[in-house]
Amino acid sequence: MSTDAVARARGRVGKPAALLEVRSLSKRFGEVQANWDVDLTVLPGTVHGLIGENGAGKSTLLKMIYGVYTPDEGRMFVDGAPVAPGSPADARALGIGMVFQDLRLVPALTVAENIALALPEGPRLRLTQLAARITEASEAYGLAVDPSAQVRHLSIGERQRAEILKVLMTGARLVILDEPTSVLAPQEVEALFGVVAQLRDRGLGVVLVTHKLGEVRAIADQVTVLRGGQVILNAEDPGNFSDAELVEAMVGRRVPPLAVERAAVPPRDHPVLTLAGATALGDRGHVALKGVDLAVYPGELVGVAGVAGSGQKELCEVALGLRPVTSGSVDAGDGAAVAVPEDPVADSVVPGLTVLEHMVLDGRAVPRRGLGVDWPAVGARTAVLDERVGLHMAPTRRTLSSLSGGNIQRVLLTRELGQDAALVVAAYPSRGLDVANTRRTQELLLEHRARGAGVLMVSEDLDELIAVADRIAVMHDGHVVGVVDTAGADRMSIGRLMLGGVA
Amino acid sequence: MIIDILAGAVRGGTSIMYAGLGETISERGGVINLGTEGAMLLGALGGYAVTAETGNPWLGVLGGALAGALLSLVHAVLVVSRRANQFASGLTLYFLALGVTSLFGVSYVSRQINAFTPVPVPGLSEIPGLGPILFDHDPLVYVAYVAAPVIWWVLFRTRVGLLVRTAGERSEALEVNGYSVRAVRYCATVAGGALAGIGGAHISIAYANSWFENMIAGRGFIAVALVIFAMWNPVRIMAGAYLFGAALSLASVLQTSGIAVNQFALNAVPFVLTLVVLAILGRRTMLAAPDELLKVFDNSRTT
Repeated sequence: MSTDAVARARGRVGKPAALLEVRSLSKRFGEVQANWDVDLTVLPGTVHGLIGENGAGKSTLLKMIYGVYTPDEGRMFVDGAPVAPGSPADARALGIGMVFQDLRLVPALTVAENIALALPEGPRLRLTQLAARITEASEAYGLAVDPSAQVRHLSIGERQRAEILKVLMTGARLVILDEPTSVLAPQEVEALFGVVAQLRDRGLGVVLVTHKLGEVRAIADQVTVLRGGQVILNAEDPGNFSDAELVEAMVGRRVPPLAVERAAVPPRDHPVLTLAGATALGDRGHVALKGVDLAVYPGELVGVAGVAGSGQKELCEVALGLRPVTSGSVDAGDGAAVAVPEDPVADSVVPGLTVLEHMVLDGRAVPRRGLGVDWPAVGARTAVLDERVGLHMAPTRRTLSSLSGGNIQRVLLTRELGQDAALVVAAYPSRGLDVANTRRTQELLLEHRARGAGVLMVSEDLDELIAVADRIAVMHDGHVVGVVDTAGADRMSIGRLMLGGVA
Repeated sequence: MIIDILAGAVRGGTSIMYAGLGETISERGGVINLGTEGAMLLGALGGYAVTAETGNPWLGVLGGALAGALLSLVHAVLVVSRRANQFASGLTLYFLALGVTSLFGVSYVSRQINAFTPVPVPGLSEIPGLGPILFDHDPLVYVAYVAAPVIWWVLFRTRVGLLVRTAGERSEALEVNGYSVRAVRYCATVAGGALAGIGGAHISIAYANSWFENMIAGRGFIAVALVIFAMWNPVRIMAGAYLFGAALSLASVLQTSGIAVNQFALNAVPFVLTLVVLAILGRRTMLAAPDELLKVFDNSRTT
């Protein structure tokens, strides 16, 4: 820190220096203005909620703060002194710590080894000593985690605690949590917020990035809403705002509530999908699905809840016949099935093929001309489909693999949900979508249900499941530990099931 | 005879052990090197040539290590910097090494060298049974006793080892913490090649005490398979290497004791053993595989 910077920092009388102050930050990627004139101030001892839709510029902003991107314009101050972090290591040296959504821990290493990787210490790993320090810190912050456990064997919640501990032990005073609650059970969210409150009480600054408005209202002292790369709203005490007001700030217009007439589920007699004692191996050869009994009936939407990696992926693949069962049985009837895979890029995208070419890769009859495909006819059919589905796909001549995750998802959703089927299997259908398209996708699933299809839908958003599902199957460690009727369901008891307890 | 076979197992397994330890380091760092056989060949010739020219087998070991390291450096350039297919690069380098050593080895065929000789450990070599099996060998055998646990310690108890393992498990975690994946993989691959080179040198300057074309005869490939059986653990490599050493020594011991068995059938024993172990373990070993290697196996990608 240069001396005149210190002088300037001290010159601000009356106000405590902000832990982090971002002034007029702008960043452009080609045609896209990802951030424009963004201001953000985080005071010590406060929680700052940062909300915005996918593509609103949240991650660009975070990456500039964390030294991954260099801003085109604007300035940043830490403790009042100007800084320009050129790498994550620079940012960490400034006391900025980031807990990524995908958690950067190495699964094969222990918690202590992962933390050792981040600490600049000597050539010998003093793991016993380090374990003692980890235990001490974990007690101080209420972040219970076993230092000698292999990360692979930890739950998502435990991994997150380990990651936060790592960030704190490397000396972070500003902790950025990137969508920390999207993978947690409600109980774990409460525990996490307990930790966040404690960090705040110890004078640290916390930036909480989320799209769950209730969370911002519950815990943030300040809120900043980004839309189209710009700050739309910056206010203290977000508790004073309603969900509708915050959504309007995020989306730019009012979003009407889910508007699909929901008929009662017809009598459940001939299921479209029956799993009886279905057991299947995961990709690493471990038993990932353990004796699952589940039936999906025509005209109902069954939600699947569970913390990430509890067997949801294998359940969907078994239901679709993509993954063999080692014991038990699967009966998906004779009707057509459509599916949205958990990992669309790996499972459904053929690199190099266009959107239009992907539209004929769904097993339906293809319009022919001579020996070839009648592409104009496919184009016309696709246009009709796009119009009816209403998810506004990217132009059909674009190469699918070059599109963003949300746009790929919209193409696949259009192709799959645009056709009639007896069984619909949708894994995380709204992943990467903005509020309006998420809403439309939920409507499409409910339309399938209304037409008499059986719908199996996996989501990590419990609120979404409660809003659209008739029943929710809760998974934990490969088992379906309970099937709850959504009418009168209670988040907390579903959460207990997700964590392996009894409702 | 049992003692002869076991002593032969230790002596014959040593070269496989060096190569297996080297390949363990390389694969722990995320690079599969099928060129291990080639690195051993170069090590065998390099070791033999340096020993022949200098008269000092220890300098021969150094020469062998350098020769093996050099070949693996080429592999590292191809797969780490150029992101070439690891299997293609490794196999090609093996054939290159086979050709190069045949060509330049001609002048060393039937040349005499000052080879390593057995150095009985005072006292310990007198123990009945155990003495001749473990403590009446050339110095490289004793170095190997120490090498396996030391490499285990380095991999699991030092920062360098942590970096290597992270490179093999989740390389972006290195970048996030400010380390270079490239540098770590280069070091791991080259160190692995150097150890394979020492293994090769052991064959030419301590085991066979001669040089002839293709003298490694598949030991390098056995070492690569052994790394999988041993689940990337240096201490298990030690045990596995001696098992294969026993399979190798069976032939010579049976021969010297006058039992007539088809030579070609006996030569096949280590490879049949490899297939049997692979069949028994099947997919199970892959549970222990470094994650970045799974990417190589599953998609033939090298990133």
